[in-house]
Amino acid sequence: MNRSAEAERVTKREEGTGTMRSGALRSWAWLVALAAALPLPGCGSAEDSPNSGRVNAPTNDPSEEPGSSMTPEEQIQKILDQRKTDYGEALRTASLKLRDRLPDFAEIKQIENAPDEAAKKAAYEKLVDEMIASPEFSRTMIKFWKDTFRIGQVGQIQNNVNRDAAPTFAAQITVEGRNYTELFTATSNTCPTYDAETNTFQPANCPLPTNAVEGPTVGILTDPGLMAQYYANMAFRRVRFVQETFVCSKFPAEYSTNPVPMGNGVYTAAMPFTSITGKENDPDARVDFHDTKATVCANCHANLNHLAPLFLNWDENGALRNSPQVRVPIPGEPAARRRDFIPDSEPLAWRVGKTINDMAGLGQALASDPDVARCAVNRIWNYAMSRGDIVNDLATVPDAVTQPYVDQFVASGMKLKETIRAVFKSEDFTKF
Amino acid sequence: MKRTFLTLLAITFAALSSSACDDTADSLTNGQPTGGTRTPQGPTGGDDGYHHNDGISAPGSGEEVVDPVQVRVVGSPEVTSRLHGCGKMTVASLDHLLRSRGLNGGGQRPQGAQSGRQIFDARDTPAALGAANYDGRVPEAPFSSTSAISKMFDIFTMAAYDAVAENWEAPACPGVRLLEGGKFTRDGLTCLMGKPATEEHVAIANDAIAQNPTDGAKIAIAALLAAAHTCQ
Repeated sequence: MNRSAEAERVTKREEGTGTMRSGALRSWAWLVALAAALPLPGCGSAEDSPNSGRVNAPTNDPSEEPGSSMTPEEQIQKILDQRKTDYGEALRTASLKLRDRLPDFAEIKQIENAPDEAAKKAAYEKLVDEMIASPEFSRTMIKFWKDTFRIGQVGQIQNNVNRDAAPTFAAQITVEGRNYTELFTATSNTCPTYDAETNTFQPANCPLPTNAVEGPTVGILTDPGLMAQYYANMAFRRVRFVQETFVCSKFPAEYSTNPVPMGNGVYTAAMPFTSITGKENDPDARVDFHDTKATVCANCHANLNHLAPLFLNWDENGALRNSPQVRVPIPGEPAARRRDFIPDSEPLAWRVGKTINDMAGLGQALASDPDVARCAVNRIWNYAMSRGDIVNDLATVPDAVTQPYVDQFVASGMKLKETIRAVFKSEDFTKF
Repeated sequence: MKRTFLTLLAITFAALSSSACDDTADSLTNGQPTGGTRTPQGPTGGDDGYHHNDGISAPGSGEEVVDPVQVRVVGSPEVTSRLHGCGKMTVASLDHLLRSRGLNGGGQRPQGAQSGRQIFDARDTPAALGAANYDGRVPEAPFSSTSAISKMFDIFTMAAYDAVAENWEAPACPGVRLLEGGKFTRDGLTCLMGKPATEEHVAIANDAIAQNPTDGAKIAIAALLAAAHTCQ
């Protein structure tokens, strides 16, 4: 409905009924009408006005009901075709995403004054390039990675462990156009600092935390801040951080093609049931991961237990020690041992058939896993499209949507900055 | 009978509305799961550091269970993935908005009333706006909660007093006047909204002044700010 007409209609109704004669009441009624008339997008999907900036995904059109004559692809295309390119809106959104601020008036005018759509597109893309080259992009990327890693230094640094280090390193890799897999493979300079005045990242090794022993550096996988942030019993929270942050899914991590009914459920993991510790292979097991009475523990722990032993020796302050520092949640809370997770003869593994020996091996496994590359791209996609966290907000992205970006990402040296550039210039981003 | 029917209608509408927001519902609790077997805790939760779930579909592989009702109401996953969501403006962005648009408390406001800037700077405001709590492994909320929207509207309402001030100047919009001759300028509204204002925006805002010469401009500004910046 035309917004002016709507406001007028409301006003006439007020005057006709004579119920809102006072200035204050009339003002508030007008405010409600105005707020209702202006575009207030809801639920991330739809508005009914062509000028609203959002597209009405669902309709009551019977042709879009399941089972109609339209194929799913045609239905998708029909909905997507309702979007309209709006470089002014795109500039505002891109600026908030890439610089954490609104565009300046002069920038808005560059779009507005462009004579035609092609010129608007060119102006918009130039501005996106400028935003990505700006110092504000570096700061915004640090914030992006803080939110992604759910970590940030609050107050004074304690025990020589800086919780800004890992997100700053991830931001450095992003901003400098370096290979994303350095996050898992870098052997030095993983605790950089950022100088906002010069917009430069200062490479630095992570300082040795209080009471720590020296150990190899493996990207952010050995970051003291992350180790402290995700300290928990049996190191499972650290493993979950890796899985959920870099693979974009919760455990169970993989599935067997031949699920086996077991106890009160079905064993679905790909690894052999007895490849982890439990009463079936160790009567003295302190935690029975073979338990199937309430749920099939092994569905998740098949993978969890093959990784957790890598993370045992970091204490709650993120200091690497010579012995396990995480506890087993049983009376007495003893320190965890490798055999609490997997039998002594069982190798560590990233996935079934992908054994690893140490943290560097895990880093290599992550770097070569296509799911990790896809996850990185999907996180950028969701960030750009305001879809929330892919894991916590269940904002999964169908492969078809981001496949071109994944292909480009992998083919061009896994430079996340270029993926960001491509997504923010994409047709999907600039249509509303 | 009629009341029962209306009640059922309201419940149905509410149910449809909530299902339309299924994919973002968790955000209203800062990413905390709201329960249910398909929303096990993320790394933020669980005292013991691990959580047992009964996940049944392969994660991240496009095999998520898709509710047909949800598909009908909000579109298929592919459609919704390609549409912009309604992300929350970050706390830092809101701070910049107030600074860059000249909304820093310089206007005349009722005795004792706080300015938009003062409300923003209050100690409890970041939490209400969904700021990150990294000690608790909670990132900044990607979507607005009711408290965030309410707080933003409080800020915008009082910031409107600054915008109508005679000496209003926006650092990000040098030389731009918001009001000239008692009417809104298009450039002024563009400045506040961060995107090109349409003639419709100008007309509707000026209509507010016509309706209420005393407070109409402030009401229009508050409503425009809220409408423009409710979503990122």
